Amino acid sequence: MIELNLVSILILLPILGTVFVFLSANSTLCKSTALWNSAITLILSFTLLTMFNFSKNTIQYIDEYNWLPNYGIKYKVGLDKFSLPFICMISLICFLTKLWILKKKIHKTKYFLAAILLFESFSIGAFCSYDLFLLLVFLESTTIPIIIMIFSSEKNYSKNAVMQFLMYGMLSTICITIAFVSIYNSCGTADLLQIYKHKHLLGPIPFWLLIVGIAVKIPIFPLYYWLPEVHVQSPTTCSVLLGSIALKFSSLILLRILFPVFYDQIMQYTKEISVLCVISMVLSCSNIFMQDDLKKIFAYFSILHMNMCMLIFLSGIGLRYFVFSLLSHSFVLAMLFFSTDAIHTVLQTRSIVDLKKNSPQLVLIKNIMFSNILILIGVPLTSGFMVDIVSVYASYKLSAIYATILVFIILALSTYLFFTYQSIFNQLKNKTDTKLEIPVGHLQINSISKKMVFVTISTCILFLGIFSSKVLM
Amino acid sequence: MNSEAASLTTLAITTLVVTIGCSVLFTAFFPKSKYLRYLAFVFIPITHLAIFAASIFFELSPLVLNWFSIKNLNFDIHLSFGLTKSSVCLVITLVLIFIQIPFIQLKSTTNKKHLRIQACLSVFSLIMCFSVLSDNLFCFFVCIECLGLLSSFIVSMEKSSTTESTRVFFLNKLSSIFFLVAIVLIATDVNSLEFNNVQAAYKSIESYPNLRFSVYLLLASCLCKGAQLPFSSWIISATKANIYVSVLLHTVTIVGIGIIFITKCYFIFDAVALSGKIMIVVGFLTAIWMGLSSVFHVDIKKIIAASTASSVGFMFIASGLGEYSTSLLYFVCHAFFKTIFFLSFAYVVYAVSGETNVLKMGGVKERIPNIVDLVWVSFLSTIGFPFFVSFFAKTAFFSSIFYTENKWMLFPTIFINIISIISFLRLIMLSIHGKTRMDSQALLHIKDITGKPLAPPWLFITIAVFGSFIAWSMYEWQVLHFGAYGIVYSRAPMEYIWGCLIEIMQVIIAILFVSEPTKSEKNKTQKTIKFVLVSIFKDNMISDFVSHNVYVAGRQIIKLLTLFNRGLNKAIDSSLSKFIELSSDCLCKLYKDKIVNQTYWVFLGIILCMSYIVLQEIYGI
Repeated sequence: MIELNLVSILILLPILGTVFVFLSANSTLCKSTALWNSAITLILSFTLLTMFNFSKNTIQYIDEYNWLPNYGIKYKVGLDKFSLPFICMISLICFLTKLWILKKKIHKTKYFLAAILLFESFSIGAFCSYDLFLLLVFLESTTIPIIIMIFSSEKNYSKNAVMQFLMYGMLSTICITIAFVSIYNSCGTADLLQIYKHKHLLGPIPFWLLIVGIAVKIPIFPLYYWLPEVHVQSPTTCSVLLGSIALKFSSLILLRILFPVFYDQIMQYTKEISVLCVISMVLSCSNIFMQDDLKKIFAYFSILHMNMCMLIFLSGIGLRYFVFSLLSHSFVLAMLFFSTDAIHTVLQTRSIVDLKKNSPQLVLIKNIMFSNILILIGVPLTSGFMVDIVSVYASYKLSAIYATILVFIILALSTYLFFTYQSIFNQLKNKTDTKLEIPVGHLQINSISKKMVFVTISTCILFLGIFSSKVLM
Repeated sequence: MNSEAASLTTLAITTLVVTIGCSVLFTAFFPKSKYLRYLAFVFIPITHLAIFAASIFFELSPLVLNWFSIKNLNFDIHLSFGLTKSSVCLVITLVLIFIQIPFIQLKSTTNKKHLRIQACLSVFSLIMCFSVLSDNLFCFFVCIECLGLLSSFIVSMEKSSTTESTRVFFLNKLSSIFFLVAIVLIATDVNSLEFNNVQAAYKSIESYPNLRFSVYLLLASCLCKGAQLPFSSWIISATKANIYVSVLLHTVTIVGIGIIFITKCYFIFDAVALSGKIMIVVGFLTAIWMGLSSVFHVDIKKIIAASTASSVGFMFIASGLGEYSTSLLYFVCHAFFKTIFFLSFAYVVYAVSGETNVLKMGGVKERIPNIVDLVWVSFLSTIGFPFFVSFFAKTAFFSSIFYTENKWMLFPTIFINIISIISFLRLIMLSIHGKTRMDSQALLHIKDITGKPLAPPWLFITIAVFGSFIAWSMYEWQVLHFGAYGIVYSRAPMEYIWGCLIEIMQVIIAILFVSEPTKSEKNKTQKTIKFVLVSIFKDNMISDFVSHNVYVAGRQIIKLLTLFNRGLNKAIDSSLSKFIELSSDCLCKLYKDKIVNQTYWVFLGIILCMSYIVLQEIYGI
């Protein structure tokens, strides 16, 4: 008799949801089915949060079944205190994406919703799995829904994005797969807890392969080019999922394998990795200054922020600060991408030059952009403020030069963003400027569901900022 | 007993925060009623006054809230009350109340923007109070970060204020970045941010490698907030905002926060002797520069803002000499007299329907007699007329310079003071007296204030006189300090008579400098003074050779200074916006021509890597 824990139910529920989505007759029914499904997932994940025993340092809610008994590969899922907040975050953001597209016309609704549900299931599974191959399967399956989502957008030029995504994704997949196989060969087991005990058997090759694998996913300097391209050319929901969830798989590998198994190597090569992080921070910051597209600005901001998280990880001040900054990154990016979508639906453009011409007519857009700017600058009481302080502290632990560079990046970036915001909304307009015609579409944003999304995310960001000591405990 | 006191503190702080939160929420409902606005923006600060006054008489224990912590290092919010702290908070809240009242009275046409500005002002002064109450470097950092952001957002509420607000934002962010780095340096060395632990560490500064550098960073941050010389451009830019905003910004809050920090953390600046010398030199330069430039500005707000920066320069000189208590007394008195002066000119601006250029004013003396009275009384209280508001502060300042080793510094400070008196005289003469230079259309709309609106400024003047007297007596009893008093000496009553003489002498010199001695006749003295005061600053009407030469020389100096100033501002501006735009244009062109591809970035990265390795090899970084 199979007995399933709550964790397995969390993984299976969205898959069940996809079946229902395909069975349902029209698109509105589809949407409501998917929404209810992920609402249940959300509630279950938050009940897990209340039931979880944070004082224990072990894995809880373990489900263990044989999958391929000849090779010793098992279906083993469980929860520890680092993966639990990620699971809550994933279910919350998936729920919000469905809420966001509730009143919106989309192409190929069924495929799109099924892709989101599958993505939810796979990503929760990846964060819960304690078997090497189960982890690999879940991790690599998440690329399929993203590709489906990019294809289901109506634009013609999305082929380039898919190519970029696939090429870089394949690189990381190959590296991670080879690393996993070599770990499996040298340890003789796929159980992660067993691998932790046999870590002295491992050579340096899997370590470097894994580093290359996560360098694509974070992304770190030579391998970061794909992210802005994919963000710009994919639909909003896809970029929300990509930015706030898919980038976190790198941290999953860091927390699950690299940190416990290759701790000595990480300490040995901290300098080399952190140099790359700082370089990618500098490059992404300088890239922000010359972008016209809002989405590209936010994509480069995401790279910058992820590298700040990496610096926090490498400085060794504590994994909880790393997890905290990643959570903050997720919510901030979700907020930014949702708001770009709102601007896009109203004005049919994301370009700053076009915004300068006609945005002051709309108070709504001004409010949205204002909240974005507050979050990006890192005003006290938002989570960005804390991440700024912690990352400066962490980078100073690594080297004084990094701290100086980081501080100047923060200064230049915040001033540039403030200046851009002011020049969009606070400049006297020439009457000769041509104004874009505003379609009636801006009424769409006034729907309650979209307001709910904004309110929920900003409450999350404020909660992380104000009650950070409780979150960190 | 202890828990009771702690709960009382919690109660007091939560009341402060919640009431301000209510008044901010209140703006969302957009009330048209005046009485509701009085309730939100005047009554709530009055309750705050009561809380601060009560905190003097009840012994309240400190309140410590943990925000977050990194290992053993706690980032706490630590607030505590005390006699000096509560009194300074009382002054700040008083100033806020007497800014809000005329704001409501005179801006009768309600506008959502005005409500928002009023809410911002309330929040602003509360954060300033928290910065005074804070006992922790992190808490102070949060306060200055909030103040900087809020000030730039208030300035940005005016239309087409992009460059101004960006300049304010940039310089304030720069100062908070300095502070952040200093905090990180201190935290890594001392592993605590509480003032007590930091003080113990600074006593043995030699054993910590980073602390010496952190002193300079903190000093730079304070100079930046106090609008001292390399960073002084933001205070002129901030005058773009509403005049009532300028009153609060330029008298008690953001300009004074550097002084508050220095007087609170005197041990940091005592540890390194060079920091005091930097303060004195920078304070002097700023006082002279801003004092001179206040003589030559034509905008009312800019004139007063420049003279504020020169006053803050005085405070920095006093702090640099180790006279922390004197600088605190000057801060309190400056809050009073600059508010009076600014507010009386807010009434003048109201009377001429919003005109702030002094060259487009003048000749309105007979039309607005009530306001003219107010202006002259505020002038007397500003220049340090005996037993008026600023007399005690200025006398204490001059005598504390007299008691130090550097007695020669008395002459340049008196010279600067005379310059500021001249600038105030010129401002009054040009804006109110003399011939009118207004349009005939604008002349029709001149309106005097009568009746009820006249009460609050006079009330504030009386409160200010008493308040400055109380502050001075606290200073004499040696209780006006955050821990360090300065040089302890006893003053004889004779000194205050000397002080009277010096102040009056200064005024006479200022008037003599301005007037033409050869032409003055006994029965026509008054007229000539007025005539010359107006004429000396206009090219065509100058007859006297001496005054002309003085004028030309002064103008040349100012030209040089303004050129320098402009260059500085341009450097800041261009490095921010134009440079970014230009470079981005170039790069975009390259990017579009596909000369730059991914390979370019890879190449750049490799170069950076290589340079890092070379640096590491040579210097061992």
